[in-house]
Amino acid sequence: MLKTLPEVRPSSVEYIDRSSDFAWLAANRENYVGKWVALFAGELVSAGESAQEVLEYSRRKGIERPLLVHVQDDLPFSGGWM
Amino acid sequence: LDVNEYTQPYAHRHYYPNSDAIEIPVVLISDKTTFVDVLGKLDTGSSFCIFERSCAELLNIELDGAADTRVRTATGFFYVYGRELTLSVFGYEWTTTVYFAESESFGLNILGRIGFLDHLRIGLVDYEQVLYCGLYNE
Repeated sequence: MLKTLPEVRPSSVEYIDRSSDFAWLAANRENYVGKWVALFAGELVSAGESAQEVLEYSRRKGIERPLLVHVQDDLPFSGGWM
Repeated sequence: LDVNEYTQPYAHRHYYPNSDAIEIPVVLISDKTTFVDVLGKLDTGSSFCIFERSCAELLNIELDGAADTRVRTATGFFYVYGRELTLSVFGYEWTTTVYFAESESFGLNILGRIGFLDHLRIGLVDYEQVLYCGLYNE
């Protein structure tokens, strides 16, 4: 069967290197289990109970595109949810 | 033993420091001014890309009525809403159908085959916690 290639284009939003945000998560994840955190440039911008409040707070501080993470506990993960 | 050497170039190298999951930063874009940057877990055993319900709310995507798609898991099933949007990863983007969990207790984002893996070439060296990514036509 002949398959067509997927249509992929350069992103319309600027690519942001999240390496420093990943490093922050690796170092601090256990302190924020169950919370939403907003990260930018390797720093915590805000943390809270809901994604909406965390994102709005970040944008009020002038950070339009924080990385939003719902921090999970460190139990092993399986795709077999429920 | 014959071993064929096989090399394939990738444009992007991604290090994931969390050894428990292959986490990838993605941008969900619902229109030109509405987008959100979140973390997704790569799951090659998952058919779809499934995001938390709260992600839809951040994108002003309404999830009205009964969820129309049932997803099977190892231990049961759950319901999701399918919506078309743009997914951006490592500087690439494409328009696809992704799914949002009906249940608010679904607390993670899954990057599965349809809508994610079928749009990119992926190489994985899990021992080094490194994912390589490129386009089919690179």
